[in-house]
Amino acid sequence: MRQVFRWRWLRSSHIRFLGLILLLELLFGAALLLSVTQLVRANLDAADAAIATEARDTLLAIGRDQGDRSLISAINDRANEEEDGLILFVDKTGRRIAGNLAAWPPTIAASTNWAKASLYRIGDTQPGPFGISAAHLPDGRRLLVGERTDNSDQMRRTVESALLTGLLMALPLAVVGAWLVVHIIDRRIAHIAATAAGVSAGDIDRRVPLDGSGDSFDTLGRAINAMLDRIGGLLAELRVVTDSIAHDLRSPLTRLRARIDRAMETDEPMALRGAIDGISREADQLLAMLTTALEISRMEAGIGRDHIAPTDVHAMLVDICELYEPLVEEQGRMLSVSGETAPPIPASVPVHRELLGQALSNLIDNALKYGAGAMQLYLLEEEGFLVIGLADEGPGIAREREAEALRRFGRLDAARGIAGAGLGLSLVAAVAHMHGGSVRFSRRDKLFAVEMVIAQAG
Amino acid sequence: MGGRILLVEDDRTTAEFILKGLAEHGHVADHSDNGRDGLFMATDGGYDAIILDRMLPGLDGLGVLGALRAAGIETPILLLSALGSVDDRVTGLTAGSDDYLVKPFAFAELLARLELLMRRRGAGTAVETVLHCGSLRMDLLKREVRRGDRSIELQPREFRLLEYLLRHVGQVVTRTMLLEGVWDYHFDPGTNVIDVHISRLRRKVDGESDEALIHTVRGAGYRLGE
Repeated sequence: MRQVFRWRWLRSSHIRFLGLILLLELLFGAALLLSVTQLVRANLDAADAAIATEARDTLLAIGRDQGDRSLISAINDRANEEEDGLILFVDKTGRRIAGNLAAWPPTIAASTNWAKASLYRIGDTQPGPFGISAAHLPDGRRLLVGERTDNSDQMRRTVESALLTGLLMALPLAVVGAWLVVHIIDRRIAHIAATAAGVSAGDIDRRVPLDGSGDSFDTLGRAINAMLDRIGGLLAELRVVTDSIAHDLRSPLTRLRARIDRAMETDEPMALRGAIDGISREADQLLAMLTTALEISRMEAGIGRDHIAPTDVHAMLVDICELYEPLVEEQGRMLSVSGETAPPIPASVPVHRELLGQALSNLIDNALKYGAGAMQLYLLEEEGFLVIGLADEGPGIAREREAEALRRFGRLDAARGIAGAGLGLSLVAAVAHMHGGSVRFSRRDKLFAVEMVIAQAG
Repeated sequence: MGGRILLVEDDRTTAEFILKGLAEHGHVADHSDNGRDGLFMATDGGYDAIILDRMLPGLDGLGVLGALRAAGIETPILLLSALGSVDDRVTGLTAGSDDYLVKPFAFAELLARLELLMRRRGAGTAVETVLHCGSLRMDLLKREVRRGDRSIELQPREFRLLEYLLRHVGQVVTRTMLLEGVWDYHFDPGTNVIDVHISRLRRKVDGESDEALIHTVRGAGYRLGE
């Protein structure tokens, strides 16, 4: 356990980040050192080579133009006067004719443009570094000219040590830099973590502070805040629902309880039968209420979208109308579908057939219960949206109570005199919402209509 | 005409309730309380129908259903489930079951659907062009309905409703079965829409004087028969 703890810090992303930056810094430094050194060496060598070659070629020219005497005199001059010079002139047997070197060095070829060697000049006590050019004359004699390279060697060493020092000084800077970067990231993430921890602890209103920069931390914070807003909204709604359930489920359950109590007291078969019928109806109503409430919750959670398929909505309205017509007529009312599928209305629209059917059925039920006069189902096209509506000649819903009517368990008669669970319209709203639309109320020419406005693209 | 039925249901109370009801109606039923045993029994049992709970320990109902259908076993299966949303029903039906019933359910509904499944299987593929019940006669080709000598004029949907009833003579047909079978909708209409259609049809078929053919079955639905 202790062992694990001791090494765990190695796995921390901070340490890894730091290590990575150091490693990159080292690799970069090494590459820089290597390439600069190579470059400097090549440049200095080229300069030295140019001097030696030029001196050699000058002497060769003297020999060619002014004869051997002048050449030997020039060689002697160079041997005696130039402190850094190296020179040797030998005959074809290799015997020295003139110069300050005892013998031709075995590592140097007769004709050389550039070579480096460490040599003793006549009279020197220790060898010196020389850059050498040599030439083979046509008559077999050979000339070797050299120049000390101490200065360029010195310069190269200076450059190398300067680079190495720079690199070593950059390392601590890199560590500090990496630490700063880690610290900045850490602080931004700490805000988000603190918010998440706060929300987990119950402070649901807490949000990630944003700086508006639009960088990835800001985007992350914004996304988390949006998620928290949504969760907050759902929680608030849940609270409304639980409160409503407390009220709306308790009343039918209490009625059920009372009926059961009464049934238990009676011995008369007919009365018992009637009581059981009543209990059964009450239970059915409770079940229906529960089913609808669950259905709405599922739709709001987006479950069931995979059953959305292209459907001929107009034909569906005709179907539903045909299904309800007898019932409506029995109540002395009328139900019809208006118009035909005009060109702007697509023949098929992606909808959830069952849920849309359920919504239409709820609308007709509502109009039967609360509306008056003839009812009309209709279909309109409106700026890329499809409007499915049901109009009747009843008083409709007062404007100031529209929101209330759409709320789950929201019922407009406070006394709840007419049977119903207050879920019909909120199911319609949930269906519309699932189809990327909404529910609205419209009033024209004494007609009141509830309309589902849905996106044609589904 | 009792059938051999397999019940796969883990809830003891529900299972006892169903088994007792099936025995009372002359069916022989076996019972398994988990998906694995249920699948095993269904594979070699030679049942006339299977009642399958959707949420089971071991292997869930849809798993059993999938395994049976994959093995080429075509025994009619009625899915029984507490998952009652419209989507659950559609998913259950498209997964290969022959019918779907939501808990809690009335036994009459279960029995009606079950007997329908078994009857449908026995009926084979013979194409019927004339349907009968007592003095009622429906010619599917001429789209003509007669009660004795009297010709009955029906709306297209009334025709289909009567056709459905005639195809299930003597059997209990529930309101939801009618909504599914005639209108192809699986939602819950809440009001008594189907009852009104039936009472219209009844007026036309049974009239004033004739002996009634369309009977209301208390707490369940309707039955066509003498």
